[in-house]
Amino acid sequence: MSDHADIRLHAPYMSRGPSLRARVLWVMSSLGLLALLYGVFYDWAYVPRWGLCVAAGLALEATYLALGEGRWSLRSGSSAITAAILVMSVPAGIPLLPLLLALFVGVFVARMGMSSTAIRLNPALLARLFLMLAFNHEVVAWTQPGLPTDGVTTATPLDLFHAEGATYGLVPLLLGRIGGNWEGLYEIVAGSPGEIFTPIILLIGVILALSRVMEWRVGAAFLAAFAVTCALVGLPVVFSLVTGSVIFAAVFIAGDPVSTPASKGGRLMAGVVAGVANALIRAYTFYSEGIVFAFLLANLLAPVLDRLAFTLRGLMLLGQAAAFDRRGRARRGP
Amino acid sequence: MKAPMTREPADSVATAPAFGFPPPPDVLASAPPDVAYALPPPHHGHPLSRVVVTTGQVITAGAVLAQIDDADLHSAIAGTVDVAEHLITVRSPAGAAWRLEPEPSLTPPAGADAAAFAAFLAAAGAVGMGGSLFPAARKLRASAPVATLIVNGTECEPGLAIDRALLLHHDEWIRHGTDALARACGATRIVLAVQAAPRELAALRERYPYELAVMPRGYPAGAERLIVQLVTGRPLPAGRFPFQAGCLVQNVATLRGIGRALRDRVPFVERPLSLLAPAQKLIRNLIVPTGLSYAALLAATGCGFDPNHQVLVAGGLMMGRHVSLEDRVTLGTTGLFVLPARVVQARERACIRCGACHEACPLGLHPIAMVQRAANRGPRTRTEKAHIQACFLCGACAAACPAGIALAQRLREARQHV
Repeated sequence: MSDHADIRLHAPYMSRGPSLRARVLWVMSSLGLLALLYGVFYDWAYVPRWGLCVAAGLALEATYLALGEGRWSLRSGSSAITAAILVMSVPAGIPLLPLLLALFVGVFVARMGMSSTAIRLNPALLARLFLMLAFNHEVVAWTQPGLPTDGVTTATPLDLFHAEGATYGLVPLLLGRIGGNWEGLYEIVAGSPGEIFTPIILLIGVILALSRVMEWRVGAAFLAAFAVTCALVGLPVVFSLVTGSVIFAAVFIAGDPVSTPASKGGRLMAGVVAGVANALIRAYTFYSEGIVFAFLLANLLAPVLDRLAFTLRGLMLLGQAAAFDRRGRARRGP
Repeated sequence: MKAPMTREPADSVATAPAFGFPPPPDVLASAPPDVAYALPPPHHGHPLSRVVVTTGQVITAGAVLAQIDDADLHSAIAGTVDVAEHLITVRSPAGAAWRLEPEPSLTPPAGADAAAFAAFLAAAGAVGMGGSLFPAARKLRASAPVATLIVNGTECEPGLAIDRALLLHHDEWIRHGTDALARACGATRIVLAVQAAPRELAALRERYPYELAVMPRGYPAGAERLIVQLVTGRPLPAGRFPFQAGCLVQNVATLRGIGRALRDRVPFVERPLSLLAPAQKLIRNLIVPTGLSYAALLAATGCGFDPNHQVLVAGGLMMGRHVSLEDRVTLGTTGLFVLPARVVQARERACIRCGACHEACPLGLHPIAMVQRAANRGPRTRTEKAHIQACFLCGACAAACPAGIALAQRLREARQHV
């Protein structure tokens, strides 16, 4: 009849799923906005640096595909997200070479190499784990951006809280600028560029979730579980939520649909796992924050959580059927 | 915000209803040269149908061709009969018009009780015109007495608009059929389930004195199970029928047919359907004779078709099937789509576990997990079976999959193991 070889002879005849490329574009615009804000408020040099990393991510993805397929192409361009998240979760002044090395690990091992394997690790987190292990000093070298401060490093508010129990008012934390109250010397900027504009990140997260670009279940469950666990172990809840990269992770790391479980129930459980783990790491370990470990743990558990959700849904279906039949017998009488 | 997120084939029909306010369906004017009806194949050696005409016999429109269990087969046109093994063809003399009023050939029901009404439905050839073709007589006998009659006017296949047009313009027949069926099955509550714009809801409230259940927009809101769940407030578990939940569900086209059979004595020989050819910007609601070939339908409506670059899909985009020009309109044909071939082509890639299928499933099942765990060997565990049985193969998961995995097809295969 027709010479088209692969005409699909069965329904459905239409596709209405979200396009991966459109999703990547939306997320990249959000991350780009945050990078731009950092550039405006603190350090213009950060913007080209961010752009360079994103370009490097895309180049790595194209290289990976070229090695396998023999021609230059991009899959969904999602390595750009990996690069952007990575560069925004480390100090602004980190040397470029370790950063690119970590990006290579993230893209080649996790983003492309683990494509369609049973367990997938979030590539940005794997890259950051690599940095933490191989370049430990550079990852915590919180410089003072915007000041001619080659040699001066400071701690973040979270580090100070962790080490000395210092807390700050909510308003300066939300605005990302804290009046000098650490030895009265420096203004303290809260950590990595991605963590600073908490209210804006939260707003972006809500918009992305409502427009179905990002998955919201992991992030929401993560925030809820984190807040509850913080309250239980005696950490200040609001301070804990707005410091560190909790909000950033809830939006941009929890929102990654690929490394988290696929099922709705599994996603809720993964969020709870990550939230509880992060709060416990903050409270009881020598790390001031444990986003990387918390979410990598959730990634590793993804197949188990999916399986658990599958079984629970199946049991619920069986229970509904049994209840339906009981009601039917009661109606008909014995 | 929403716009860039949906990926439609470039010139596919929009998911939104194509008509603002559907005009009345046109009756196909010109006479078909012939109509043909396939007979059900014998079941375990027993014939399911008894042919009552012989080759060469001249019959009137609406005459019975074969007696089939619970739904007799009628001819839509007058003409000369040709009986082959599993196919009855009726050829019309040249120049004859297709009349909407075949010779009154039905006797009215003997009484108002369920048994007498079921016998009338069987003689009229009433079957489920939502696509299931399940005999209405058998459904009535199994259901009566039942508390609730649900009129299913929820058309959810994207692009189809025929049920909405019938509801708005053939309301007399629909009310007549609905009231009679409600009396026969003893229903005290009549619910009209629709998925319509507010403007249409007002028009429907004027026309129907029934309780209105508005289903959520989008596919697959018209599924029987979801309607029963909305009306009764409880999910209908797999393997249970609506009558077990106290409901009898009939499609609006079926009820129109019942009303027409009661009032005009016209048996089930008319099929209201939507014809859509997005590339030619053609969209029409039509009433056509059953047994009409798709070639004749396209010729009569002036709709072009290029077999090398286009394909025909009958039913709907989500649950329909690929047909050829020689295939015939049946009582279950809700629509015909002329689609560019590249729209129905799909390249399958590996699952990236994005969860789009989970998000799309109207029952909250785990489509990709079902496929990965049960497609090749069939479901093994209790919970795997529960999942596969609950799935009613709506195809929402497959349509949502960004990797183009044929989830619906795999699930259909997996179900065959249950």
